[in-house]
Amino acid sequence: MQVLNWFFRTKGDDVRTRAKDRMRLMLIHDRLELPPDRLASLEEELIAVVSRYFEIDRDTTRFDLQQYERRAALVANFPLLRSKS
Amino acid sequence: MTTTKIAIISQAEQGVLIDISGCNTLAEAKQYLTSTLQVSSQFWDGLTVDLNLGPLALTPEEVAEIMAIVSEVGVKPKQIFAADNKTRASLIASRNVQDQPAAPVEPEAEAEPEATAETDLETKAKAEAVPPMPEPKVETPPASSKAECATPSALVEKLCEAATTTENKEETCEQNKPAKAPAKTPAKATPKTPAKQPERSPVLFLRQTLRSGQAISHKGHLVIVGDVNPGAEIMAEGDITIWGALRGMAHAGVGGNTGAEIRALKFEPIQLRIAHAIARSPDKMKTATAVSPGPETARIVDGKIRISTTIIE
Amino acid sequence: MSGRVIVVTSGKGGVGKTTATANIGVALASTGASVALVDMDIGLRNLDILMGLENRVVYNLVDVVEEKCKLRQALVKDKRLPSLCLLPAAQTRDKSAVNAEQMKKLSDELKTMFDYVLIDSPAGIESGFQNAIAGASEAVVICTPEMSAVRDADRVIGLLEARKEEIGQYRLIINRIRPQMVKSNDMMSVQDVLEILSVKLLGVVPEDDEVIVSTNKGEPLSGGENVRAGQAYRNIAQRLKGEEVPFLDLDSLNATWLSKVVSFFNPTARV
Repeated sequence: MQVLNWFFRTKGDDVRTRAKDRMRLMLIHDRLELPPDRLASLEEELIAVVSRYFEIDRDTTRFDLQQYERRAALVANFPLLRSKS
Repeated sequence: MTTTKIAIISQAEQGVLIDISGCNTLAEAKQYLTSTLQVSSQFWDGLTVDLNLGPLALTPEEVAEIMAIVSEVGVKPKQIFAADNKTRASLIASRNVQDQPAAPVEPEAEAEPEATAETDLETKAKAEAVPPMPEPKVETPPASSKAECATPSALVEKLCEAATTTENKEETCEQNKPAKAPAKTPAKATPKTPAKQPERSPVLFLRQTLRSGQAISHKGHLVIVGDVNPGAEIMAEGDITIWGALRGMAHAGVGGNTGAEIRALKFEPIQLRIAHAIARSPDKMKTATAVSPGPETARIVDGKIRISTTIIE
Repeated sequence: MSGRVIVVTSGKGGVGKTTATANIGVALASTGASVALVDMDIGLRNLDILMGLENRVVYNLVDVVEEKCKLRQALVKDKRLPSLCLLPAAQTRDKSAVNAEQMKKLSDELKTMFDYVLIDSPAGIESGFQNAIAGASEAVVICTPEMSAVRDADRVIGLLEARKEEIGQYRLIINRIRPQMVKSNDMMSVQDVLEILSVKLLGVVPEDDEVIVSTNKGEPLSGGENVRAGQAYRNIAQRLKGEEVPFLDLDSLNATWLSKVVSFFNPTARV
């Protein structure tokens, strides 16, 4: 059974990848000294601002913290449906 | 940078002097008192304790804070010394004072006044024991580094050895200025006379296992009932007797007494020193078979440290 | 002579700082360089034990700083390599026994006497660490491929970066990597850790029982040429000297289906 698991484990759900992803997120928070709820409230505000100009697809809106070298970047993706008049 | 703010100076028959004259602020004093007293609370059972506040200037409330810390572990200072007038006034104001008529010591105390400031009976004995002062330590470095720090038992030090090692020199100088730490002032008269007589010195008896990082330094003979673990250091001007295993570093005859001996039930020391001689354990890793053959004694023979099973030569 | 002062640090304890210091020191000294190992873990000294010199310690770093002895008196010569010396920590004192200024002075003095001064920093990022990096011009950060160690290494790297003027460069050693576990995707790989920390790699040391054996003997690197970790430390020493040495092939960056099968049937990892 273990052997089967081993063979069919897909990339992304193995321990190594999970550790790496957790690690990356943790370090971004560490480096920015980011309190856990800060990001959530930022996302709320960003959505509110963008919504004033556009109708956006809330379900597919994505916020991502990414790492470039030892810097972090916040990448936001707002699928725009139509502009608001 | 100051290392040791507290020195605990013990003498078998006279109890213990807690010396915090190295602390510059109340907060510091409190912190050091708390950490020291708590860890070693059992140590204080049944001991006569004196407290030296040194140059700290304290209000009656602050004195009360100090006393609260001290009494929390069941320590009741018999005498309290203070060099600062304000502190002395505070002490007088507080209830402590009627217990110790001698408490406030003259800030300018020199050798004799200090001694007389102490209470009756003890005066003589103390004055006798006090002579050899920090200075000998400074000139015999191997012995000197240890006597304090980290752990409470590391603080068990002989009365004569004065407060710190780090600041030894500094402190010694300061003592020459009048206004300093009364408890230490008297001794400067007779430093480093070679005529140390361990035979007459008191014996420090300890019933505990000494662990890594702990250091004991004593003016007379040292008797330990318990083990001395690797990383612990014990030093005495006289003999060292261990009713247990010696696995750390032992230095007998500190100051140059080549007649001093080290004996233990189980001899597995990392290093032995007697007077100025040093012996180290063999480099090979000890195997299980190479255990100590039983009680052994180390003494200097022809200038070298020899270990034998002969108990008395 | 003006030697290089290199601090070995990690943030997290138990990742192999002291072992690395001892092994790199021996490796460097074996190439003929003169090396001083400085144990800065005051109160918890260990480097003397790994070097098998614990019975020869008479004076220590604190004695030197407090001018109770000369620096030369406190240096303990290695049993095997005459160009290797140890400056032991004090065991019965604590971190506050020295300060950064004193350490700077000491390092400056040592680098006039040795080609390399390796400072074994205590764990943590408090005063002991600050003192250890005070006189250093380079740093070696040790971490293991575990999340806690990587996180602490990152913190340390951040602190080292903040002292760019003093610490010209810092490089990473990834210790105790287990190729087997990386292959089976159960452990972060060297590449993963490097990606996360974005730092230059100095070396990769595989988990190796021989390291424990040789340090237990008090003779680092005594295991001979074919010990993997030993080879890794020799490579690290070469890289510190500025030579280009290829990294041991421990990684399984492309752990393919086939390589999984291969490693399944042949559990001895290729290194």
